[in-house]
Amino acid sequence: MPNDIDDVVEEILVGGPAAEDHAAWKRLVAEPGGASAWATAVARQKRQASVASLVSGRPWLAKAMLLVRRAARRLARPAFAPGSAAIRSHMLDATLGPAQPSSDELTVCVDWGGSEALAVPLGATVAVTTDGPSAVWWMTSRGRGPLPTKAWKLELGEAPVVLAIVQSDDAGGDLDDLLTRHVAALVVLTERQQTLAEGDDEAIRES
Amino acid sequence: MKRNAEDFEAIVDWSPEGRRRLVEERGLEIRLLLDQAFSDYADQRELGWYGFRDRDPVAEAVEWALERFATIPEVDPAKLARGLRGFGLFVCAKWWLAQKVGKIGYQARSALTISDIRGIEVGAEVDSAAPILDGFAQRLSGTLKELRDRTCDDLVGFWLEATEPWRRDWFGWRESAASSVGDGLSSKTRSFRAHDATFRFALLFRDGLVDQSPPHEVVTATMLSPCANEAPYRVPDREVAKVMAARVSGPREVGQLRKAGTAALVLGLCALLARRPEEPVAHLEWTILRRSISPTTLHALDIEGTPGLGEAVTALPSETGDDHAK
Repeated sequence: MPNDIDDVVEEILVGGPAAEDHAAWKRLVAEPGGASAWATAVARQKRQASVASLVSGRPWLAKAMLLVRRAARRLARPAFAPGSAAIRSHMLDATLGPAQPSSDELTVCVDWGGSEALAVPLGATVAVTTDGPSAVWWMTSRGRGPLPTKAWKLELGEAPVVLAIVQSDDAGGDLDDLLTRHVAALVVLTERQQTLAEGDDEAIRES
Repeated sequence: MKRNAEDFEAIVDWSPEGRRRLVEERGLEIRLLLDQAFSDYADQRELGWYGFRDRDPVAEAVEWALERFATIPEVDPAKLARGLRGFGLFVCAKWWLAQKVGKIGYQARSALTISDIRGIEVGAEVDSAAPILDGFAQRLSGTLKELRDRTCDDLVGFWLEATEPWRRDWFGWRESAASSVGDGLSSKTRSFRAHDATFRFALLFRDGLVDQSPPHEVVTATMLSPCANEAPYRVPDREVAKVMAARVSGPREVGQLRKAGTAALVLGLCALLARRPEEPVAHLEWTILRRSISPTTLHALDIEGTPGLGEAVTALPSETGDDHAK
């Protein structure tokens, strides 16, 4: 029965009949593969839920993410990776208090066809590093254009801002058209909420 | 409480007109979610089995699903799994594929669950297991289900991962445990989560361990009640403080009671574990509880400073009975 435990897990997670079915839970416990099937499905569901809430009411963003995914499936991908986006650290000293995030949270690497969210404090600058000869474009709900400086300072009310790494030296034309004809990767800048939640003490203790 | 699957926006209007409008207004969002779901699926299995054989089978499946959603005459959301009564429907590739291969004119009731249409056989007996092991699997799974109902999805995952080598030995799998999922947790954090999960499981596994005293009540309210599926996987002390406002001064006291309660429960478990039973069923049950308590448990629960606890845990008999050899 290859992979069937995946189906059991998925049905439990969406609250289907298996969720209340003791036999399904028994399979999860007594058959091999349950741990990784569960972890994979929960992680996928979290990722999907965060994408759904990110694009909710933002068709322009959903469209860009969709174009990029489809182009990467259709077109040959370059041998090099798109690159990464990093929050410039000197900005952080002023904006972040004791709950300063770890360095992992300040940099994201993207794959061709992928979209990664990066939570950015207001006023901080994000710099994109491209690993090959790629152009960077910006896009918000209000506009879009080339970004030759490859850096974006996040201001109040702008987020989400898309920084697109496009595998093309075409600096003009229409971005949708570019995203259709060339492989690309997106970094989606969201606003970092500066709240101290319960459990931060635990996070610090464990770090 | 909301499950992950219910974190998705609800769909309010399921009428044919409502669904058509939703596709018109939110088509790009829905396409994106379906695109991700079908390509995740295609990473594991073949979409061609379902008749999607275009150059881009994922895009073909997306358009098919969207068309289906907009044109199917009737959908009764009450017959859908709870997690599918909203945008969660668009991330469940299996549901759509089940729709695709189902008979034309299928009865909504039978088609709207994954297992019915895909013929998933749940409830197969554990093949080679002796009746003792079968009963043990039954108890473990009942408790695991209760753990999910009373906490959240991730704790189930931590428990499954922590116990995988144990379960492999008990249930006689040949394959070795799969490597852990790369979710970015440090090994220390991962170990704490595992110990936290096995501890809470132990509290539920052993009936009557948790009583009605105020510290235990706080443990129940914070650690054994449905919570958000994110660290620290507890009902926040401040929320419990509101509910218990008549009896506690505030979140700080709730936190203190929680730690006093977990410390008392660790001691209670230690008392139960002091003698290693010989009888097979009792021995298995003793083993799962024994493995759920270690010095790391105290750190994971942040009670390592409680006097006497460390000594009680290290004094526990070992599993194999070579206590005196150490």
